[in-house]
Amino acid sequence: MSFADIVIVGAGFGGSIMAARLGEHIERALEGAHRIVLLERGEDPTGTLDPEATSTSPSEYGNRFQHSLAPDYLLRWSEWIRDEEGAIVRGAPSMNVIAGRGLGGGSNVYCGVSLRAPRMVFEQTREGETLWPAYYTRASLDPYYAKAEAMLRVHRMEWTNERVPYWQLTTKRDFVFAEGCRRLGATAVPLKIADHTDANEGWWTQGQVFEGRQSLTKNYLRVAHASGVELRSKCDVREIVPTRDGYVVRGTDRRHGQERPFEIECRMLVLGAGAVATTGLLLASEHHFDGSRVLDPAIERGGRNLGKHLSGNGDYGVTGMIGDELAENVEGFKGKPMSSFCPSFWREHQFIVIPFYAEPVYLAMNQISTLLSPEDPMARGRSVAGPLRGPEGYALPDWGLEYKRRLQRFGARMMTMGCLALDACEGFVERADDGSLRVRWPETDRATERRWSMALDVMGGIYESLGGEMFLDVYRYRGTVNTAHPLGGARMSSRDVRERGIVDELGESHSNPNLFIVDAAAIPSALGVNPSLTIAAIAESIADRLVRGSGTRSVADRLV
Amino acid sequence: MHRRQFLQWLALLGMAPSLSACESQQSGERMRPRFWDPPHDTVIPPSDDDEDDEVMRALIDVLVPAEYDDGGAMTSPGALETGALEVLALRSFLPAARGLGFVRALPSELDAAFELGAPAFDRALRAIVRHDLDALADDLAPGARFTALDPAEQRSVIAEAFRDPLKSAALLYVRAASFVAYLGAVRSDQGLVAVGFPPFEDFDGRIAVSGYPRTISGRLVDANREDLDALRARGELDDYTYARRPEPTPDDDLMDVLDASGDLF
Repeated sequence: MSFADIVIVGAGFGGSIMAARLGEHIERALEGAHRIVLLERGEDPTGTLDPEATSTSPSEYGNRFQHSLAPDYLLRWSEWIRDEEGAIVRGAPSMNVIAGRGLGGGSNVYCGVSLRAPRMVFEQTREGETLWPAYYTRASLDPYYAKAEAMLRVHRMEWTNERVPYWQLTTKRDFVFAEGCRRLGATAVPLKIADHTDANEGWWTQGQVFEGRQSLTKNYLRVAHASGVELRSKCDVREIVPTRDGYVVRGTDRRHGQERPFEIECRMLVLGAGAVATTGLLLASEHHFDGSRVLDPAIERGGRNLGKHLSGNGDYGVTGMIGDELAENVEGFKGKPMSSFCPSFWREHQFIVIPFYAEPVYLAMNQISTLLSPEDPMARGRSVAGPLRGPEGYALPDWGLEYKRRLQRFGARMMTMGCLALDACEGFVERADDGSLRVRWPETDRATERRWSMALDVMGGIYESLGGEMFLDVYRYRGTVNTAHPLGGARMSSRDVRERGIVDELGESHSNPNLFIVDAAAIPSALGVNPSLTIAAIAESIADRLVRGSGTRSVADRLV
Repeated sequence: MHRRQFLQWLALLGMAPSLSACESQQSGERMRPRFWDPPHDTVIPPSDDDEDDEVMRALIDVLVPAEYDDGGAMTSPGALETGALEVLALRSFLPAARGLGFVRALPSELDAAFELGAPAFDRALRAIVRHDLDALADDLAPGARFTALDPAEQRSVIAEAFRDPLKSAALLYVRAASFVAYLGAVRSDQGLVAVGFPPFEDFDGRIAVSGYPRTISGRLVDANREDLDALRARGELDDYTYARRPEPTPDDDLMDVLDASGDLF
């Protein structure tokens, strides 16, 4: 067994930021006297951060993702967690989660959208209880938002190039979307994006230049690396075990083409593997924590929080085709995958709408949406329109020549949109007997249904105002909630209501000193906007308070 | 033979010898070269049953067909031409397709075959598809095999198979491989070109486009040095933006919704 003062699990926004900030502090203020090890399940896409990395870069052309849906390529850089059982039953609610993997985590595969969470997010209540610890307000996070934005080089996109470099311009897709919004009485505005010096750091399967992306491998992980943090890729943590003075982290090191078990003892343990993976690791380790060190304080009162309150952040994607009036100009595959949004409905209905690029194969396979309306009636009372008809009035199958021809004007006419909204954290993370993780979404809250219904009316209205049509969506078709923004599973709560959460406002376990959760798992509600910047701001805030010993024991004290 | 009996027969008799045969192929000199450069992936050797292969090819060609002009020249490729058979042959396709939600639960015999190894899975899949389509073909035209049907009859048989929950799971799997091949740029970019994408700049490197802005002829433009407006005015810019501000929306005042930096209040 080896020893490290601090072990960080996961290299997404939470883990990378903690690695950078604690690494800097230990190097500068503590003369590098302590050892930090960061363990990441996926590969090192740069080939330079982990000196023992045996993986190749995403392509032989350097640090660049490819355009390919080749299965093995997808599995290298992302993973999906699904409700297999629910997915089998058409109409039964189920959930799919997509997550990034590799050093950089979700930043390797996200679209860079970087919005601060609106004020009312932190003021949400449920059943009379506030969801967020009192420390968290928009005002308290604003300085940390600013810090993260500076590191991630967040810029607001522009419609014209009067003030900004070319690569910060919105796309034709956004202009068409804006015109649709305008015809509906709403407004589209440019998004804030974490970008780099390239015009098209598009989504990870678009084959554009990865070096142009503002991935965490360019900023926080570089800082961590330079500060002496040991970054280890392909190290899968299986369980954590409490000891008298800290924790033991057990897992498998898959570098060098072998599977070597490892054990690392540490004083501080920071979990930052993402909502599902962090929660899953706690579920796998829960049996090691008992008595006064129980992981889930609610158990003391016969309740349960661990694995519950999983939000999909209100993600709801649809696809449609716009009419010929503007159709020659969409070219949705060019430029950034997201660069504008419609905020007009936030105040009244708490959702935003974002147009984005989506790979045509997902549309062909009915994943983001379906190109055809379903013939099956929906379960649980959700309404569906009738099936799409061919020229002779018969229902079109989703294969064959006619279907193929429907796809042929994809480049010119297809536009995908999604809403992000406040949901009620209806999801669950569960661990099967074989150790695999699954997510469930057994029932949708009525308020969430109302919000989605309103968002669907808006998105459908935009397509129709552009002379097109919205195709039915996966949620109405199959009852499936698809999310790229899972939040919760091991949520935070104030120390005075420890039984309502797993960790406190600092991300520290209510019952286990020096065990921290600093990622999406601790977020106690939907955010209604893309969450990466908020996860980053919270991590910056926690790191800052730990370094300064503000309201808690400092890192230096904890490592004595 | 009823389907259940067929599957039991397949499980009991068919897989073990085929698995050992395929494994010896994989380890020997006859192993197919990789068509793509996956560091972890393996390619399953093709089935040596010509009839199974013929049915699979016919099925794929109905699911995403190629198109031809009156002279017989191909005007638009289908899934066969863009590599559906090769996608089916990837060891990682089943886990990826499952992860993406492209397939429903497969018959337990196919799941069992996958546990035995990719060759066994591939062989079992082809055998099941052939069995099911031939059985439906026989219902339609007694004594006929699927491959002997005319195109309209083949479509009718496939539609019938998709309606049958027992048969549809394997077909959905083949459909997924067909569309991933056609639109996923795994083996070819021609499917994407057919739906309106430009050809890849470098298909071997899987680079769709290495940067914008560029000229319509494909030259990458240095936005810091060249006059983009002049290029645009001359119609030479392959632009992704209008650089135009949308018309304002009357009566939609965002002053109390958005702050100056573009965040929601």
